Amino acid sequence: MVSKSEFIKRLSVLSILITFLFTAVVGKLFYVQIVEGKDLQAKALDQWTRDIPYVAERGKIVDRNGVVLAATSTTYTCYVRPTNLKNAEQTARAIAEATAIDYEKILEKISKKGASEITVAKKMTKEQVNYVLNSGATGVYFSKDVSRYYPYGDLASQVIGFTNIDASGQSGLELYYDNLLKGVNGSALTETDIVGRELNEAIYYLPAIDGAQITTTLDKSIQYFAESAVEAAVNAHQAKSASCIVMDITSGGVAAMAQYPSIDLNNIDRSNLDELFAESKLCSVCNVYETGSVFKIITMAAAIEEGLVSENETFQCGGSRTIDGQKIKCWKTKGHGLQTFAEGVMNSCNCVFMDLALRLGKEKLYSYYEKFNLTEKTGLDFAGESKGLLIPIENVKTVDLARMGFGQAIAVTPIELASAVSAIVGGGIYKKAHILSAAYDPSGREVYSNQEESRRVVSEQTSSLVRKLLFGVVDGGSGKLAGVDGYHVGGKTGTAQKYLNGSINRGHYLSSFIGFTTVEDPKYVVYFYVDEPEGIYYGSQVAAPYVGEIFSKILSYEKVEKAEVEERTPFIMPDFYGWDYFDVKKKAEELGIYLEAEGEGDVVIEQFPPANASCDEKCVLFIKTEEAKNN
Amino acid sequence: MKALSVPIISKRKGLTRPDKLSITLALLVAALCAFSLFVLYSASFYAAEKNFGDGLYYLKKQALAMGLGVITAVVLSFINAEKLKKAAIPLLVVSFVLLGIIFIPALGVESYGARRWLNLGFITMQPSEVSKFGLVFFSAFIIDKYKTDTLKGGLPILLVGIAMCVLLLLEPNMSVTVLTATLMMAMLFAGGVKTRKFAYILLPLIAGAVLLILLEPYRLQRLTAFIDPWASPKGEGYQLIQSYYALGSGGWFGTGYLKGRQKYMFLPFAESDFIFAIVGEEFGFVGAILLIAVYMAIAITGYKIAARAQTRFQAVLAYGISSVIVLQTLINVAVVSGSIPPTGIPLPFMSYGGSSLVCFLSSIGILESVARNGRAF
Repeated sequence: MVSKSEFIKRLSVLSILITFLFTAVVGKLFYVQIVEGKDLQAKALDQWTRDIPYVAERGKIVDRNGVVLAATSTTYTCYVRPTNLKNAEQTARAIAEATAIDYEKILEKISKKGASEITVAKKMTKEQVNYVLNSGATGVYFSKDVSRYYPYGDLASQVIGFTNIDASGQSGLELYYDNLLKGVNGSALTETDIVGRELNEAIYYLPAIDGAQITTTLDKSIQYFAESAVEAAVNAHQAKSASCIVMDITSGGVAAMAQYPSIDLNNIDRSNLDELFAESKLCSVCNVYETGSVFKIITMAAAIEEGLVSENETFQCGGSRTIDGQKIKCWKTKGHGLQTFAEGVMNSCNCVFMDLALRLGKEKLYSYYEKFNLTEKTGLDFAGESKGLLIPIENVKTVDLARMGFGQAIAVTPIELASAVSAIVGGGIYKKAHILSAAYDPSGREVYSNQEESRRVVSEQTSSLVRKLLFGVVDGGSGKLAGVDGYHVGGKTGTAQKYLNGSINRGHYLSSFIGFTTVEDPKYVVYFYVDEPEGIYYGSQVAAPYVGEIFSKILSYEKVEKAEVEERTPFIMPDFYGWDYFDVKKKAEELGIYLEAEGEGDVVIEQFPPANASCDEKCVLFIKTEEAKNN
Repeated sequence: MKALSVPIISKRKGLTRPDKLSITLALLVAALCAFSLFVLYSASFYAAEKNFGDGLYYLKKQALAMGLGVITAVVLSFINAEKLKKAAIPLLVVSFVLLGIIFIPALGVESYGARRWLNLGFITMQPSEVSKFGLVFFSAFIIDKYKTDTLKGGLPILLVGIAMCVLLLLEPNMSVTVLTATLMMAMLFAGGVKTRKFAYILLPLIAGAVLLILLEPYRLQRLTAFIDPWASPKGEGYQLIQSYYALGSGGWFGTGYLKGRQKYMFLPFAESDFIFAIVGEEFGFVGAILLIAVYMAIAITGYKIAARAQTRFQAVLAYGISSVIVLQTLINVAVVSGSIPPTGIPLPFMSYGGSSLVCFLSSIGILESVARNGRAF
């Protein structure tokens, strides 16, 4: 039998034992609550809250007149959390009334048990969302979907670029100015229970900052003129592609950059990304070309500026020059004979420009290339710009120098050339090319403004003389088809053989025309080039007419005053087949048209425009000749 | 030494005025019960609203049980505890019957992979709530009647205790098994068994525990989850991690009443087995210690009542009841704080659960009766 004292003793022992054990447990509690408390709370915070993102609206891209080229549309997706649904019928009715989705279908959908979230409607407008929210619906949530859209689809598509499905810039301006456009996403931190049901209002709310609107130097109308022209050129000549740059001489801003084929920005095919990026590559900025005769403007400006040539100086062209024992042909193998410098420019005589390059010498010529920024990127605000490809100066042989004079043995990007020509014809001031003029935050505050960079490269006089000479090309030379009745425009044609792996790729040409409007008030430079046209490939025929069209549209769009136009006398194009070259030449002079002849010998075997076409003085006649067969 | 067996029957009949100990006990339990309703409201409101559409679902049922328990306690406090000796054997029989019929499919309710609940149609209860007290009553009866200071003498207690443990293990209900085994030892200890003899009981028990762990892989998983809950935060470790989150968020003084976050269904059994974690979260480390102090105070008061009890039966009865309360509290708090592997055991008076609350309140009634009888001593 246990005694009372033993029992009381044992009671005390048990009490002490239990107190000891409780002390140990309290020690553990102290460790969990005090020592590790903060860490545990931090971890717990993660499960207590949900971060709901608020997507910032991407900024618009507008042209210089405020026409929207890229915009963001906001739609809402409606979903229902059945756990928070108090009245399924009322909720279904509210959504049905707002969206015109069948009531029964919605009710069936949201009455399903087990799903935590059910998507009920997509692409809802803000008004529809407000309707649902104000009609007593329960358990309804909305998520914002932001999608990019382009009001003009394929207009300037390579320039504007596109975004990925998360609205992040992938190419073009969308990529280059992504940081300005995207804004800053906001978020709301909401306390929830274990399955994500919100317990109260957001405890922490960070509003989204919408992206900035960027105002470009593009002009939607001019862009459209250029787009129509490149498309027409590709279709007419089955060319690989055609591109056009329209530069605002006064600012250096790009008024248009068109390229065909183009892509529809509203309907991007993302199935083949390599193909997509190849199609959306902007050739005018990202590719270099050996541009051919259009490049003669550079040589001309340098020589004039250096006082190495005068307008009426005469040059002899026998169809070729022999330099260091190497015979370099003029495009007209028969030769242009004796001609003034101005005529040489009109005729685009290679011999004249070889002479100029040789007179300049490689150091001077290269110093002008540097002045005209042909050795460096223009610094255009566009991703992936390339820069001119020049033979290192120490490797330049006299033959190379002569070729450079008329646009061979040097490759530049079209934007480099357009910028340089803008400077030359625009009074001698080089202005840095750019696409963005300003950016504005959602409140309208200017957050970015283009700082014009300009420097003098040639004198006013040189510029003026170049304009005069180039006017001659359009007035009575190979550039005739770029002319616009009632205006004085100037320009230069170019036909370059393309190279493939370092050697001439026979039958593949880059046909181009670079011109400006107007001689009195130079405002725009238009560089138009057709890559690999089929059939006729002379810049005078393949590129110049489209530039003429663009000039004409720009001039009337800008309401530039028109001078009196002399009536032209129409005639029917004779059939020159089998004619002697000199007879054709005489006839052309008689008709007042410009003649371009190619080939050896004197017998005409091909002509363009064809026989019996109705023409007038504004015509460039192309003939191909060969040796008489009986010789 | 004055033997406890000498019966000193109170000469006074009927009601006696309550003394300091009985008032202390009543006040402590009343305070605890009141506090429990506040905590239960905070811990269960959200889950109750989401699950039953009535935020007061748990609170109402618990308040009802509390009312019933208080009535039972008051009635029991007026019954001379000595008379309950007669109830010892019937209560043991009832305990075994209840523990046995749980295995009848129509009556036993299976949940979380175990049969712990008995559905009697009008009420669901855990037989173990009764059997704990069945063991206490039986032990008091044996210790009072026989010489129990040897292992042989304590054999009836040992056998009954082991039989209960076996039935509980079959449910399986590891936590109550551990409690019952611990309680059995406490009763044997009270009976006077020599301290070193406990080795003969402890060693086989430990061996048995190891064997059980090896037999059931889930027990090993629980064991490892207890050592490193972060190894499987979504699995075995989840419950303990959530308990840690609650306690950790509480810090020194807690988030404040109603301001805890873990009750938003993050912490499973927040209203029942893990309600102590909610106390720790909303009232902090200080609140948790104060609550433990209240339980300690109840146990010490109970032991004091035992120490001055009128008879050996009443003394051991009061000792056993106090021990059930304090040991179960100890196990619960140890589980919630991650001191021992997680097992499901309610916190006396605090956890939601009608049968548990009624049984504990009834036991307080018996303690009050012992206290009153002892006053004459």
